[in-house]
Amino acid sequence: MAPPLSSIADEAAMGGEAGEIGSRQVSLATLRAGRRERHMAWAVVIASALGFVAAIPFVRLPLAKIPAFIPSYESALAINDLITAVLLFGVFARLRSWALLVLASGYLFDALIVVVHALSFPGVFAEMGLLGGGPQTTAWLYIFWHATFPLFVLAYAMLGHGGGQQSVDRLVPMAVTAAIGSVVALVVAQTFMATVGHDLLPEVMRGADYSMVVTKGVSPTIWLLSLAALLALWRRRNASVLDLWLMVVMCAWLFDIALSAVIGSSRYDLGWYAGRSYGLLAASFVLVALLLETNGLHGRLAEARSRLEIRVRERTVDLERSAEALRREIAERRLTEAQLLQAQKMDALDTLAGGIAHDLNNTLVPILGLTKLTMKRLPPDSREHTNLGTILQAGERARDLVRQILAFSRKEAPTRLRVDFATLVRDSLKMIRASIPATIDIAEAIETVPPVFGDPGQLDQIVINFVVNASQAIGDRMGTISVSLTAAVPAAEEHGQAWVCLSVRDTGCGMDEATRQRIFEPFFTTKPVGEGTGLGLSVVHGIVVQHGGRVTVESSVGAGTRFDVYLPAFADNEQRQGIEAAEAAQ
Amino acid sequence: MIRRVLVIDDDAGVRETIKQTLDERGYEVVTAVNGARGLAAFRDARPDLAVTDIVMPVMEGLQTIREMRRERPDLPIIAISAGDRAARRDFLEIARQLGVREIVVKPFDPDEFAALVENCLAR
Repeated sequence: MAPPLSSIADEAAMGGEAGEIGSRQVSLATLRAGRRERHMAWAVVIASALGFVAAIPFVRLPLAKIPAFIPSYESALAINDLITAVLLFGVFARLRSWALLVLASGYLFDALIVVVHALSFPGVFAEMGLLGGGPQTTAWLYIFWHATFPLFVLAYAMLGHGGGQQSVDRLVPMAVTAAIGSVVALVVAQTFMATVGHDLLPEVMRGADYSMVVTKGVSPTIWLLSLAALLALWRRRNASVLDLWLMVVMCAWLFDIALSAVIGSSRYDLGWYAGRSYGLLAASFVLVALLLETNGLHGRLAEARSRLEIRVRERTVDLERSAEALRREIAERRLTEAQLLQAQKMDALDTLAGGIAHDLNNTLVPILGLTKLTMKRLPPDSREHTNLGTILQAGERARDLVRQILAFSRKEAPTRLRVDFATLVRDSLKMIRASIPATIDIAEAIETVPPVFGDPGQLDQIVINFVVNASQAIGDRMGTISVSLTAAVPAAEEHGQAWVCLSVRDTGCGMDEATRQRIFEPFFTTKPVGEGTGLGLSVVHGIVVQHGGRVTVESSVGAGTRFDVYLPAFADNEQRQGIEAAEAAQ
Repeated sequence: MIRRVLVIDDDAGVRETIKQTLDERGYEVVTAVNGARGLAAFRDARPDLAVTDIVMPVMEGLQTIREMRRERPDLPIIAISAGDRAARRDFLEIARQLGVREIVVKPFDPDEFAALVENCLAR
């Protein structure tokens, strides 16, 4: 049964702290044994049982005495058990289950007692074993070994699955140390008992024959202990994978004891060899299961990590994308807000202009009209005549201002005609030349361009305003206004829309960035009070926008200014047809 | 023969300016401050030409023009506009459809205005 991916991902993300955060621990000590595992376990048990039954008739068949069997077999056993113990201590550290600590201790005990047993075995390292003692020593060590391990398993089974609830973080190293110390002490004590206390122990061994362990009821007792451990495991609810394999171990263990110490009763007979083979098998099951688990966990961890990395990369890309979208949106919103503000200003101005124009124009009728009439009745060289002349000029300025405000605020759609822009520009320049100081040159570079579609009066205003503005920027000094008209090359994204570009460049004072940004705002002016209305360029800008065009400004203080006015060319046949149809409909 | 001109405008300055401009040239000028009074003066004085503002209180200029035209379809009328919303094309278009001869936008030059009046009456 594969655990849900999320819990693995959590573990991968949180590393060693997973337990404290309470995410589910994945381990063979907690995973419930699935159908597949149970089937495998049963298969192993049945195979072992069959082997056991097949071996029974030949148990007492003496085989060749191979003294090397014991050290090699028991080395393998010790190493298996030691590794199992280490892995189980590791699982305990992770899950903090006392039952696991007990089981790990059991395996450690096994590893150590096996070594002691091998050392004591007569004829292996020394004629009478290395540890001294007597002929009973090895047999008793075997009995201690096979009696104690089932007790550990029994304790494990009784302690249940509990664990993890207690916060024993700091206790883990201490608990492991204490467990190892206790196990070593136990092994030392048993070794002492079997060697120094040799004479106190009942005799179970005579030569290579140990049938007395059966007759004195010793081996049946340890066999029953193993059976008890097996039953205790069996009774556990929700058997984990570890429990399952421990049961298999106990089965093999039962076969081992039965073959070598209950039915068989002599060293180096078939039962003795076969029993030990079962012992080795038994020692391997849990180890193999643990190793497989460790491997599997590593695999899943690596997989989870790589998935996590992929996800992090994807999220990062997503985040960057949305951040970019947000940036764009903010920029757009700022632009919209600026446009809205501009529109509101225009609206306010429109209302204001509508309101004041009526009254101002009425007021100006007598100011201009009666002044002029009165002037006629006065001698031209009189002071009164001169004064009235000044009043008349002031009134005319006021009249022009009102007209500009009205022109600016007027919302009605301008007329739209096909206009030969090149001719219009030439005519406008001719007309305006007279009002530009003679110290200023006007350099014309008017190319033949496609016609534009617009209001001739308004287009005229564009030319006049930019040229007048340029001449004001030059002032009383010498200077040049360069006016050029060119056909702009259409950009790819404009679907072939051709443009006409009117450039007005002056050698005047130029302007700074702050001024440049506000140049098209209504009522913004750099001219002294009374000399400019601040409407000229904003009116022109409005006209250009109404015509579907745009204006760009390049300027720096002292280096003059360049305005480029782009207007859409009226060249497209379809467009022309559409407009002509619209005109016909009017 | 002295020509009589009716001037209807709610602005005293405008009335006075037109009056002086036309007095000087020998016209007899009758003035009124709004459309309703203008219409009454129009019926009393039987002017040869009417000059009327378009935007006025009490009776709108366009309404006044309509009434005058109904009673005297041959009367030459000059409309004057303050150049605000009365200057919009739709207003002026209505005025023209009503048979207004000329439309003058304030503020105007007195000499040009007088020439216009002269011209209208000569036709």
